[in-house]
Parts: sequence; structure tokens; C-alpha cells
Amino acid sequence: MVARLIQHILFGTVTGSILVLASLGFTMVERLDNFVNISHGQLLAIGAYFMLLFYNILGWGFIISVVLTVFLTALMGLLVYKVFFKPILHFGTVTLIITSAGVGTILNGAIEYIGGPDAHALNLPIFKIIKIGGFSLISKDYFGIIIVGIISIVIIQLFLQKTKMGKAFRAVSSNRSLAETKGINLGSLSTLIWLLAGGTAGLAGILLGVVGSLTPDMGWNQTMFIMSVAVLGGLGNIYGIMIASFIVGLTMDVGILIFPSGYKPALAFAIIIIALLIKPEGIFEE
Amino acid sequence: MKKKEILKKVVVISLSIILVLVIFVGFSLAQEKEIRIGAIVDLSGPLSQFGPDWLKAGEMAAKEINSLGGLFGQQIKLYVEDGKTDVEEGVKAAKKLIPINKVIAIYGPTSDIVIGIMDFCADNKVPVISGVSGSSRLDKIGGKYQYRTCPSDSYEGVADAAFAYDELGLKNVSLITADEEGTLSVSGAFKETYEKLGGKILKDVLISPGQATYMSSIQLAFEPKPEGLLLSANMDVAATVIKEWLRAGYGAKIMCGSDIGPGKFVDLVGKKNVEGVYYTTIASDPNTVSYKSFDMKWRALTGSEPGYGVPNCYDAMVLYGLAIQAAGKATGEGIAENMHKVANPPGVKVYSFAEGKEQLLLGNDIDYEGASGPCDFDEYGNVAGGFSKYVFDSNGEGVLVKYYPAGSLK
Amino acid sequence: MEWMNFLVVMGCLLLIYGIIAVAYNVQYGYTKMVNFGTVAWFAIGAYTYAILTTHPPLPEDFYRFGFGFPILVGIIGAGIVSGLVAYLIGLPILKLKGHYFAIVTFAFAEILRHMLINEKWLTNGTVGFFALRQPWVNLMSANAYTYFSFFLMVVALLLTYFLLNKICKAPFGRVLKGIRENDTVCLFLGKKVPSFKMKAFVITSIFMGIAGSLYASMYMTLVTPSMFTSMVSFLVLFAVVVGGKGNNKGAILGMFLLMFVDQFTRFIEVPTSFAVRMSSIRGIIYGLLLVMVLRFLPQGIIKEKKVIYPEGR
Repeated sequence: MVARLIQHILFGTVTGSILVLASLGFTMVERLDNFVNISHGQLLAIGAYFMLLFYNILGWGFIISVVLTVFLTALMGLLVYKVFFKPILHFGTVTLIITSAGVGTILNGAIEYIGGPDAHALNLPIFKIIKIGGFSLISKDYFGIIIVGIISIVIIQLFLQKTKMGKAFRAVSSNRSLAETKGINLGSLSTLIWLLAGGTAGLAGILLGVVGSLTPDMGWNQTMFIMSVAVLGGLGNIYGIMIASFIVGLTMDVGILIFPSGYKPALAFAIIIIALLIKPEGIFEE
Repeated sequence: MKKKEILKKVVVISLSIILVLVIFVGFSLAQEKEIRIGAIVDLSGPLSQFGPDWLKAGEMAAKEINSLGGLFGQQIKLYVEDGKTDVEEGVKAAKKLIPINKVIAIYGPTSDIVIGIMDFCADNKVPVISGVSGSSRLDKIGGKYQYRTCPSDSYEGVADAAFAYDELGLKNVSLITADEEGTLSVSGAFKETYEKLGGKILKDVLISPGQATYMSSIQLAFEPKPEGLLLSANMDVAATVIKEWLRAGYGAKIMCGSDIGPGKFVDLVGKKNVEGVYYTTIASDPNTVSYKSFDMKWRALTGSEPGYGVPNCYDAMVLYGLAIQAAGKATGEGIAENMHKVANPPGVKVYSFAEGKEQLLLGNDIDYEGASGPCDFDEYGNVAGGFSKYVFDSNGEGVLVKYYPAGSLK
Repeated sequence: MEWMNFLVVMGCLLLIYGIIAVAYNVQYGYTKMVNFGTVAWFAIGAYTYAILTTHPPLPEDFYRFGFGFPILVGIIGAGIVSGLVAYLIGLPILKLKGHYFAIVTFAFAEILRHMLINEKWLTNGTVGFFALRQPWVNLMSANAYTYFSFFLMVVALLLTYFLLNKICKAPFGRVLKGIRENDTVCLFLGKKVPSFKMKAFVITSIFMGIAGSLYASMYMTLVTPSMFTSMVSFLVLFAVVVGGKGNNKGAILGMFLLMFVDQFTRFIEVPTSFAVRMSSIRGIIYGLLLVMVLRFLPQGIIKEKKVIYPEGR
């Protein structure tokens, strides 16, 4: 029984790691530009499909495909920002949210058009589960996902605390105009944040491709989970998001031991309801 | 500002005019003397792997009928709409095809869509026939205006259960079912039969498609160490489950339903990963005259074997042709009144449209035996059908393991 | 006469969505509540109608409640339940700010959809309810019924339009607009902002619920969870934003534009292989139109009339 629990906890951690990467960009953008970018989920799909292009179709090596994918998705993120969002930043939150819904639809349509309506798979080798003392633990690639998640968290943490840009980012979100007067270059900060948002999303997309198949709808599917994490952790609250991702992941994968299996995604959404009823601004204070 | 307002008004008005014009053009083209049949087929969406072939089968049949002089000198014209396996799309399509394109019959929708449009079509006296609407919901609600040339999912579940228990000797199994209508109905039928045969269901897991990770759900199913697993899910969920099964080394034999097969699915999972996995298809007896001649024509047209549902779709269109011929006029009512007559005994057994037309012109009653099976409708428009169980070999090709002919299962 | 028939059929759907759009306009255009989960109330209305009017469950059905009530009870019930849910949900969430509200409503709609799939005892799961009865369908031929349902829808939309218009022109509406512009000032002026918002929210939800029941009964005759995805919310949003927020004519225009794009992309004769891609192109067109309108015509196509008060009031 304990072994099963451990295994499900590991599963939850994997899910959480993917969610962290998926939600980081979303949160950073919210914090910087103060709007909810509903199209963020599509960047995950774009990342996954780029990976498909490089790794499957062109047949390039794994590492180089990952690097290229992250790089290109980051650029896509920036492009989306420059084309769609930057010109209307002053129009107000509501307009930005609705625009992001429109952008999401455009990107989804484009992905479906280019990639086709059918499912695809990355066709990575299948790694067997590592067993220790007769107990099944986790396979190498899933373990890799957890590692990637942890490393990303550490990197972001370092970025926020140690680098100049990171500190600028934290300053800007608390008080934008004050930060500007202090000489923080909003332009290059924006660029960096959106590149990061795209990059993390791309990485998350690759991970999704590792654990499952690619479909044109994968972007919208993940959007709901990202929102759950965001609401739980507090919009714009980066540390909150990190913790919230794992809470959501664990709730789903461990909860399934208790609740009927069909409710697994609903568990994540139930968290939203509970969180909102108790504390709509998010459980964690910045 | 004013200019902008005027400009906008002009744009809106001209758009409306264009729309009306397009409609007019659409209509004037449809004025010739032709027999209009609507086809609602899944060209995009979850079943898009199969849809185009289903359409091709119907087109092939229609072409055949037309090349023999059509029906009463009129040619069949197919109006094609994409159903997308979505009820709303199907309803929209039917609401365009019947009042606008004035089709007299509809061909080819999948189960959900059939249920959605059934009443509307019946009210308009437009029959619906499909080679691929297997849902068990249709078992008892068909009738005069709704037919299908494929067997119900209920039978598929029964076949799977018999195969698991009798053939593979599995005394206990778990299930993983995608939380969707078609997959649920197969699972349900399986459970009932399997337990009746004496097997034990260890764990019944439901999966909602569209999640990031499925590992925990999969683990739940395998935890009680079943001898077999019934996997009733569409391609991408099934692919993920099988990969996880390999990853975790769970053992047990995996049996899939008819939602997967060789081709795209094997690409999704990886050729070397499917060895030993079983799957089902609705099967025709390959030794009948009708099947052989159909097979020849299909290979000549496409260069490949007929896939899942293809012979059934072909038969559906042929039956329409025969029913119209028997009715003496091209109306939906005529088809409805003559469908049983041309498909069921008594009558001269015919194995192709050409034969059937000939016999009808001689004034004889006919009984069409199709490529997919005897095509004898019961009072609800259902047919019995055969199923085959295949297993994937090391190349990702299917190898026939057992064939259950129509009517062999209770 | 065929084009008449077509317009009628297309019109029916347009009218139903039109009701939702007009109602949503009051939420968004007048009060600036960015509700991303409009499909939830549409679904609640549709399913309530189904549960109230469908026959009692047979052994093979999953659901437990089927009352077989007459159709009018179903429609009224749909409105009431929608309003009720709006009230219950509104209590905790209406106080949230713009983008929180958006996320929450979006999440609520998705949760509702999962509930529709999973709570089989109530909703019959993915199977849903079919063969729903259409009002008075037995009294006339199928062809005539198409026109009849169209007529009914027109009446429904006109009723909605006039009722909501009246509410909005009245002092109630002015307060709503005031809330949109600056709710702090309104509070300062002594207007009970929260209760106004709640009233607007509940009233409009009732209309959406009724629209849902009409959709379920007259147009589709069945309900399944797959009919109520977030795409519907998006389409309503599209109609209102593009057509022109803050005025109901704009909402209807937006709907018309939407239907136009939808049907136009169906009517073009394209080779089959291309037809598959059509749905993705349609999505791109919608998104692009929405983004462009928001950027260049932020008020929508039909602008809101600014009310100018004569001097010396």
C-alpha cells in the first residue's frame, strides 16, 4: 500500500513539474502586463509541434531538437506579444483578455491547419520503470521530467532574486510607474519576460509530448489546468504558482486512489472552487 | 468619423448581398435532373482517419450505379458535409442538406449524429443509413427512416468477452475506458457478457481524454494484477496507455476495441511497441461473392485493402440504389418503403447492384447479400454482423486470430 | 422559395444565439462583467429543460430523474434554475475584479461540463438526452414547423430585446453604465453596486437559460455535453465585442456576422481534402476578426450612443 502511495506521489510530482513549466510563463506575463493571457496554452502546443518537426520529421537529435524548440517557441511568444498585445497594452485589462481569447483561437486554428486534425506522437524510446528492491518507482524519462521541473524552478528563483532583470521584474509588477522613474528599461524587460514565457511553454510542450500524444486541442486542454494552478497560487504570484502546481498534480494523482477515476480532472477544478470560496486572491500571499 | 461609419455600413450590406448571391448560385446549380443524396461523413475530428475512406466507398457505389445508367435515367449526386463526429455539426449539416440541397436520403453519419438528426430526418421523410453507426443506443430506436449496415457495439462487447474468456483463457481482467459514448457502450456490453461467462472484473477505470498525464489512472487498473486488460479508447489515449504499459512492465494481455487498427495508430505508438496487442474490427466473410467483387473494385480504385467499415458503407449506398429502383421513384418515402423488401428475404439472392437492378426490372423481389454481410434488417433497422479479432505482429501488421461470423454470438 | 427556407433554418440558430448575445451584452457592454463562461448558463437551461421534460428513466438509462413535465414547465424551469445558479455562483464571485471574474467564470463553465459528463445519475453522462419534445410539433408538417419555430424564435428574441432594452434605458441601466465607467463613484453616490451587479447577472442568466431550453427543444432536440464547450462562450463574446458593446443592436449584428462567416465557409465548394481544413480556417477567421476589431474599432461596429444631457439639468 505504501509502495502504491509513493508511486502515485511520484506521478503527481511529474504532473506538477509539467504544470509548473506550463504556468510560469502565464504568471510572469500576468504579473508584468497585468492581464490574463488565455492564449498561453497554445504556446505549449506550438512547442510540442516544433519538437515533432525537428525530432520526428527532420530526424534531428534529441538535444538539438529541444534547444531549437525552446528557442523558437520563445521567439513565437515574443512575436505574439509584439504583434497582438503590445499595441493595445493601454486599452485596458478587459480588452487584453478578450484579445488573448482571439489570439488563442487564431493560434489553435493555425496549429490545426498546419499539423492536421489527427493525433501525432513524438516516438521517443520507452524507458522501463526502475525497480528498487522489488518496488516499482519511476522510469528514467519521467524522472527526467521531475529534474527538469526542479532545475527550472531553481533557475527562475535565481533569476528573480539574483539578477538585475529579475529584481527589475519584481519592482515593475508592484508599481509600474515608480519602476519606470527609477530607470528600469521596460522595453527590454518585456522582451525578456515574453521570451521566457514562450521558452518555458515550449519546454512544457515537449514534456507533454513525452508523456502523451500531440493533438491540435492540447493547448486548450491544458489552459484549464493552468488556470487552476493560477487561481490556487494567486495570479501573478510566482512562488504561489510553483507550490500550487504540485498541489494540483498531487491532488489529481493521489486523489484518484480515493475518488472514482472519472473525476480526476474534476479534482483539479474543484480546487479552484474551494480556493475561490475561501480566498479568491489565491491561497498564498506574495 | 462619419466616413468610417458609412464605409462600415457599406461593408455590411455588401457582405449580405454576397451571401444571398452565394446561396442563389448554390441553388441554381442544383436544378438539374439528378438524384440528390446527402453524405455526412467525418472528414475531420477524432475519426478523420477513417472518414475519407467511408466517403470513397459510397462514391464508388454511386459511380457504379451511375455508370449502369443511373436510376430511371437520372444520375446520383452526392452532397458531402463534414460531420466532424460532432452532433451539432451533424445537425447543422442535415439542416442544410435537407431543406437547401433537397437531398432525398442521407448516408454515412456516425452514431451521435444519427441520433441527433433522426427525428428531423424522419419528420422530413428522409431516410438515414450508415455503415458506421454502431452505438448500442440505436439498438431499439431505429425503424422506417433509420438503418445501419454495421452491427451494434453491443455485439462487439460480446465478441470481446467471448474472445477474452474462451479464446485467450483470461479469468480476470481490468478495464480502461475512455469517458465517451461509443467506448462506454462497448465496455458495458463486455462487462455484462464477461461476468456471465464466469470471468471476474478486477478494476474498471474511466479516463477523461485531454489530460496531461494518465499514469495514475493506468496504474489503478493494473494494480490488482489482472491477466488481461480491455482498452476501449480512441487512438491517442490508447497509444498513451500502451506506452505506459510497456514502460511499467505491467504484463497482462491488452485487448483493444475497434477504435484502433493498423496504420495511423501504429505510427502513434511505434511499430515495435504494439506487438502482442489485440484489436477488433467489424468483419465481413471474405469468401462471399459480394465481398470478393467489392474487394477487387476497391483495390483497383485505391490500391489498398478495404479498411474498417468500408464494405459496410459500400453496401449502404448500394441498398439505397436498389430501394430507389424498387420504389420506381426517387423519394425518401419510396426508399423507406422498399428497404426491407430489397435487403431481406424472401427474394432472389443478388450480390451486386447490377444483378439487383436486373432482377427488379424483371419484376422480381430481391434479397441483397452485401460485401459486409447478409444485410438483413430487423424491425429497428439493425443488421447482425461479424467481428474479427486480430493481433499485431512485430511489424505492426495485423494477423487474424479469430473470426466470429454474424449471428454466432448470443 | 428555397432560399427563404434556408434563411429560416439559419435564422433559428441566429436568433437563439442572439438572445444570449443580447443578454450577455447587458453583462459585458453595460456592466463590464467579463463573463467567459456564458455557455454554462446556456447548458444549465438546456439540461434543465431536458431533465424536466424527458420521460422517467428506463432500466438501461443512467439517469435517475425524468419528470415528463409539459414543455412550458421545462422552459420556465430552465430560466429559473439558470437564474438560481447565477445567484448562488454570483454571491462569492461577483466581487472579484475583471480578470479574476473572467477566469472563474471560464473555470465554472468547464467544471460544469465535466459534471455533465460525470454525473450520470442526473445528466445521463456523455449519452445525454435525446428525442426531446418540440412544442406543438405534432400539429403541422415538418416544413411548416421550420417556419413556425422561426416565428417563435423571432418572438422570443424580440421579447428579450425589448425587455432588456427597457431595463437598460431605465435608471437601472444608467446605473449599470455608471458601474462600468467607474464603480467607486457609484458607491460614493450611494448606489448599492453589488446588488445592481447581482440583479443584472441573474436577470441576464435567466434569459440565457431560456435560450438554452429553446436550443435543446426546438433546434437540436437533444443535449449532450459536447454541445457546450467553451467555444460557445467565445462565439457569444465575439458577437458582442465585434457587433458593438453597450447596445443591443450591435449584439445582433455581431451574431449575424458570425453566422455569415460560419455559413459562408460551408457554402464554398471546395475539394474534399480542403474541406477538412475549413474548420481550422474558420477558427482563424473568427480570432482574427475579433483581434482586429478590438484593435481598430474598440467600440465595435455599431457604436454606443453617447447620451448627452441638455444643459441646466
